[in-house]
Amino acid sequence: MVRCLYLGPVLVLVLAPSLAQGQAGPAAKSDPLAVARKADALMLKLGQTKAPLPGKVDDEAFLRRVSLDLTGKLPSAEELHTFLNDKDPLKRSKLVDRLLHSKAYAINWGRYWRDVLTYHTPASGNYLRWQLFDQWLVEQVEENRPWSGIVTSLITATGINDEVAPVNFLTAHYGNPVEIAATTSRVFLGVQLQCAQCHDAKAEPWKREQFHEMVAFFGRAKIIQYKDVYGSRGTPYGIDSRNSVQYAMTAKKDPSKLIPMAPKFLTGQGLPIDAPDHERREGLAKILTSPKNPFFARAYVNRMWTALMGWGFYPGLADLGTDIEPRFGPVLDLLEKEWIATGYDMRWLFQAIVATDAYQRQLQPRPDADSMVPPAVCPTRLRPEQIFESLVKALGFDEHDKSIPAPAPSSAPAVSRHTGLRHMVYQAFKIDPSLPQEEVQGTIPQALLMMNSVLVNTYVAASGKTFLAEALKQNMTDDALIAALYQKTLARNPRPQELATCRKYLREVNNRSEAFEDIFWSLVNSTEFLTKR
Amino acid sequence: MSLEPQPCVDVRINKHGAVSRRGFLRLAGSAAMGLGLVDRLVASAEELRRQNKSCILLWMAGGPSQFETFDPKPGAETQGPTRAIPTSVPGIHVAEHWTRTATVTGDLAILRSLTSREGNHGRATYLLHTSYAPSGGIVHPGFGSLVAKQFAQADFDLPSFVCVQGQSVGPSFLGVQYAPFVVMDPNRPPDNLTAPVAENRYQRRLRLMRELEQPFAQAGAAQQVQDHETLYQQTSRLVLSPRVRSFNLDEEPARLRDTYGRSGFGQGCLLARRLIEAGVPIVEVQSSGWDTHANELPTLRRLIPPVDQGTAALLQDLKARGLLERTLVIWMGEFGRMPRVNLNNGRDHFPEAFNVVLAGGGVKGGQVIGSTNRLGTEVAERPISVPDLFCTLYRALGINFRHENQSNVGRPLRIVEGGEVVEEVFAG
Repeated sequence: MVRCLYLGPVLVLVLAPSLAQGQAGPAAKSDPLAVARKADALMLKLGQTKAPLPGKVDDEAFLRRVSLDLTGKLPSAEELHTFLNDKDPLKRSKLVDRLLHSKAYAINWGRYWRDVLTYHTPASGNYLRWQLFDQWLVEQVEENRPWSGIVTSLITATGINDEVAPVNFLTAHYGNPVEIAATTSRVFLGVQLQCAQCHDAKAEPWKREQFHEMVAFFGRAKIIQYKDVYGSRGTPYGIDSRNSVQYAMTAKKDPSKLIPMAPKFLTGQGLPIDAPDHERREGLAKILTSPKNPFFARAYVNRMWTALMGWGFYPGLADLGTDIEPRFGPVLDLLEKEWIATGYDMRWLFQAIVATDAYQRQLQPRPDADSMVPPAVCPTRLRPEQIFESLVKALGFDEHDKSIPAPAPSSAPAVSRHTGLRHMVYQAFKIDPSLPQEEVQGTIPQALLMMNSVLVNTYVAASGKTFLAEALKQNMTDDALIAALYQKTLARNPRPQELATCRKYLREVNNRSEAFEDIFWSLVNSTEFLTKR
Repeated sequence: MSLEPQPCVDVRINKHGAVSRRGFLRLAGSAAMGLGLVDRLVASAEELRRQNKSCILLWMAGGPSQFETFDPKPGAETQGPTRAIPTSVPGIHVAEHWTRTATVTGDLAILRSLTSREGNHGRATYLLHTSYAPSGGIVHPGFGSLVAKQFAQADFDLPSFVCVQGQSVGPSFLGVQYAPFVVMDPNRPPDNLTAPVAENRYQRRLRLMRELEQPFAQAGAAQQVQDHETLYQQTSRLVLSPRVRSFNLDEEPARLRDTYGRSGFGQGCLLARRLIEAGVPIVEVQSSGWDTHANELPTLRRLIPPVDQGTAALLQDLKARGLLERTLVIWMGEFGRMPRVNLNNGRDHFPEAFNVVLAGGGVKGGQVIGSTNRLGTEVAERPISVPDLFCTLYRALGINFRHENQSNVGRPLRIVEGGEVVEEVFAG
């Protein structure tokens, strides 16, 4: 869909070639596998290590890793078996293609962006139609809509939030232009700007005026409440234009004095102060999605790299625009440039990252902040809904089983809008997806849930309608049953050391059902169960 | 009585004891690295623990009407049919139905001149739990988590912040060990606290798990496995602790449970008393439903008695046990309600003038601080901002509210920015 844009007589803008909406794919798109090889070569050249590089992960580990990263779910035992026995030398890249075109991929990444964009807001109900927003994001990912188009829709959205899903991005911030600008900058640009709201930021180069000039792009968007008190819609909120107002910054020396602000971006492009709302927000979207924007693509690439590798080029996701130097900077530069040339194709970037040797190496511990060891994946905590999917698979319960006690959602404004068992797990494990991994910690309620809950203990039991009860009835050998449990919980086969430990345990306990319940319990409670490796 | 705030400096030390690079860059040039600083941190915390204050926050979710609670306006057009009743303190009146609280008014400081600009539930709840309005990117730690962090002891087997009947604002960058431990129903022990198998089998499972984790630790996840092990040790200490019985109200005499009232709130107050006796520094007990946009009076007639009963019983019980002096009790919601009754016989949100009640912890009781005008449409005397309130709360607990933490955006964040202690709360 092409939008016609009337721009005022005075215009200082960088025009983006073609990219606002529509399908991905100018002809400049490189082969992602070729780009991956270039990136690997750069990493080897830049990297410093005396130790030999770790080898590639085996097929079993690759299947598990890439399934979790792309679809948020573990492969089934059948999928594992099929993949291991596939003799096609191209099976890894074909697997990646399959996963990237699955519904689970869209759901996984739609949810990711839903949480990134709404985690911090206490808004719920009328201000944020969470399911609708989630659904819309899933659809955008499924259609492989260019990231530039998605962000444009979010920034320029107008209408009522239970009709126009992307409006929820704005109403979830209560329509407050300061909050919207802060999130836009932090998430879409990787630039932490809101310190400059009140004073010239000490460590970053932004001045107070620059923050407020950024806010001015949203300064004529107004939040309106729609009262449908007798209908079923409740009182949804919406965004409309109010072109009679002017966004103003308080003068520092005299807080009663207000200085009207014309919209201006951090790198200087601006709009006249009389520009109406739609010009301002469409103008900002164009500036953000211009190939010349120094932050937009870079922030996204850094974020996706961090999500898949467990560490980022920058220490955090909002360190752009500071004096912090990224490590392996030329690799980021390469990916950024190539990704822009694809028209911000989200699937392409996953293909490129996943095809690198760096991604496919064996797991390494998290490197120190300034380490120049050539990169590999380091362990990352799964997101709450990924943990829930793993539990469903491992324990084999029905998500809607009402016989298992699950606390009702509290009425306090909270991030979780789920119900039932999914809510129970989400509530315990919820976390801001933008948080650096080193700040992610387990909590007591999480441990209590995994150790003691009726859910876990019912379904690891050797009695009742459970996997273990059925398996014990069949005449499986101990080794076969141990392997089945590993496949069910960790989507892999046990290592010799693990088999030995389990066999020893079986002998010591001398009660087959009890020992297997404990083994099953230990696997579900393991670090690995909660971790992408 | 005024407490000397403890000087202390915080350094952003992550869970592995390493200063984060961002934090280090910010502190470059400061000589405050190394053992001396850590000693000072420990010393401050020890001193605070010796003072041994506790806190119980009674949270009225939804925004309770000041006209129908502690700032009635008898004779005013805005008051509606709710009458004012005298209390045990001559000259102080409260709204009718608060009959039991009226008998303990001698212990209460009623602050009638709270004022804020946040009229939205989510934002106001955040404000009244952190003293900051929400702001994109920076997540401020909640009051409960801040207090827990100041008073928590490393080897304590119970959670240091418990929240009853609801969720609270979390710890943010202070760390998940200060997250509120939620008890939705005080009549039942919290979810998942009971070991599903006998203790020896429980320990045996944990040993098996530890052994099975070794290959993963050796395969690059040593830190994750170590952290997980620490968490599981801490959690099983809680599960197997004899003090976990503090969560079980069956151990209290039935008559006392009746005195608190058999409502969720009443039993929540009793649970709060048990927990602070067991050493939990802070407990929040929530009552919800105060958002009376419609049919206010019947709703309040239902809501007030259990809260009235529980609050009064809590104060009397604390006093009888000699605990009131060292336990700060706070009663508040996120805002008040409008002087004008709406078309649905309710009152809408009104942050411009609302009330908060304090007791215990060195608070001078039997007084009213600040006032609203005759109609209750605005603060008349001695306005109290939310930062003012929080300076006062932290003062009561002996916590330095100007102390700076390193926030999640690497920028120093004071516990309270601005505001001043309402000295009248302690005067005398």
